[in-house]
Amino acid sequence: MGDYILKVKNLNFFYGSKQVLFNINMNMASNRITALIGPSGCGKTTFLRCFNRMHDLYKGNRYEGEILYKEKDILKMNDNIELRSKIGMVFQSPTPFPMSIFDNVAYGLKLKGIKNRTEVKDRVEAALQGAALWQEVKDRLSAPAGGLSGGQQQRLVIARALAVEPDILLFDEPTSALDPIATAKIEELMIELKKITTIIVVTHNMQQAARVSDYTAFFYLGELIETDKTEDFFTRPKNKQTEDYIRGKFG
Amino acid sequence: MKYVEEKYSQIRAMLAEMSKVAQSMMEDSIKALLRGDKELAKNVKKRDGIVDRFDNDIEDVCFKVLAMYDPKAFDLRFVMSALRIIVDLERIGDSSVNIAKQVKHIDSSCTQNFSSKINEMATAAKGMLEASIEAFFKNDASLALETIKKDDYIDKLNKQIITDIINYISLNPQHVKSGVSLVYIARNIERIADHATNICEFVYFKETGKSIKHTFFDSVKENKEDG
Repeated sequence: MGDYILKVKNLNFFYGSKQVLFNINMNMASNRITALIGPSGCGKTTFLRCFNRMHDLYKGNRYEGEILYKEKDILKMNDNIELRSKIGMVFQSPTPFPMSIFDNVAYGLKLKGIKNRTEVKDRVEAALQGAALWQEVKDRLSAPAGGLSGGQQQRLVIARALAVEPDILLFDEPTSALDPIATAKIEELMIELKKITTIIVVTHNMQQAARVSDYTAFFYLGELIETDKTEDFFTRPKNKQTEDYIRGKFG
Repeated sequence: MKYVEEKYSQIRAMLAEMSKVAQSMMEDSIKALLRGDKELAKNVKKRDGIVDRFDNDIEDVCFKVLAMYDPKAFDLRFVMSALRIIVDLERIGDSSVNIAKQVKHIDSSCTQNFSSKINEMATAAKGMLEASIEAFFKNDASLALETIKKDDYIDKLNKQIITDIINYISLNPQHVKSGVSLVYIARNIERIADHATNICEFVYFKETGKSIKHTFFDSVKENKEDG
């Protein structure tokens, strides 16, 4: 086991007065993929969104506890833009901006104040290469991003996140809107990306969790029930609730 | 997940039938030998096709379950152990046929000299086989471990019986052919016990997720007590 890039300590989360996460303690290994699974409403997406303070967008949400990112508490950081460039998010449906392919990827760089044209160009190309999209778009970088297929759009979004050189990428059901071929490409990309980033992925697809992740965590009713190496998690889970869930006997 | 549950029930039911046939073949091959009953021996040989068909059919259902339902945890271990156990049951059928095929080659006076020891060995192997099947269907890892332990006794009986047969044929050279057949029979009974041991190992795997293949019994027991 390598170092832990994230350490979650006694995390509680509230939507207003409603508590949805209960005393979560969990570490995330660097350069590994951790899958979060559980039934709808179990808190896995809420948990994921804590890592880049997405919940701050809505009033009345409240965190308790600590999330240490490189030993600094995310919940006490003031600069969310800097935080979100280091901990990027890829959503369920591709979210390209209504601009060109090039400008989509360059967007985050501009937000960070990088204006040197050569540097921007190089980093856009590196990000598109990293997202395995370069070969498909290199001759039409000025074309609108909306003209790409769903799978290409999702890889574009990943490239946009990669351009600002994040340490961690959060994936929220990244392939649920994609066909099997596009899904396979994203999964291969995730495995490739763990060489340079740490990935946390929420998925409803247990096969996907089994295929791509190194560690899997099972959430139920806002609690972390079990986390283990993925190969052990899916072959000999320790907890009865986990066993029932992954065998499809839950309810 | 009603559909996949039906598939698991189907595998369990077919395994129960296959076990019954394999057990009856083993039992009847020994009866045929001890009684010199050639008709019963022939009947054992006929049943081999039934075991082979179960082998194919169970394998087919397991293959489809793996491809279509992607089982996890206990379900995955159940399907994997079923796939392994059918190989042992099929070979128990083969060993029983091997025993049955020797019936016509053995002189009854020679059989009588060793009937008590062959019977003792066969009874012990049959007990192991029954216990291994019971452990599978009752999900009983402890019974599986206890049954594995009994294999040493059968190995000991096998060595002893072979020594006795060699001594016997050196004094009764006219019974060399029968003696060789009896050695072959003892070897097949011992193999049946080995297959029962394999079944127990898969039962243990199914229940605990831990493989104890190629592991000495004492070390497994120590680990279990430590854990």
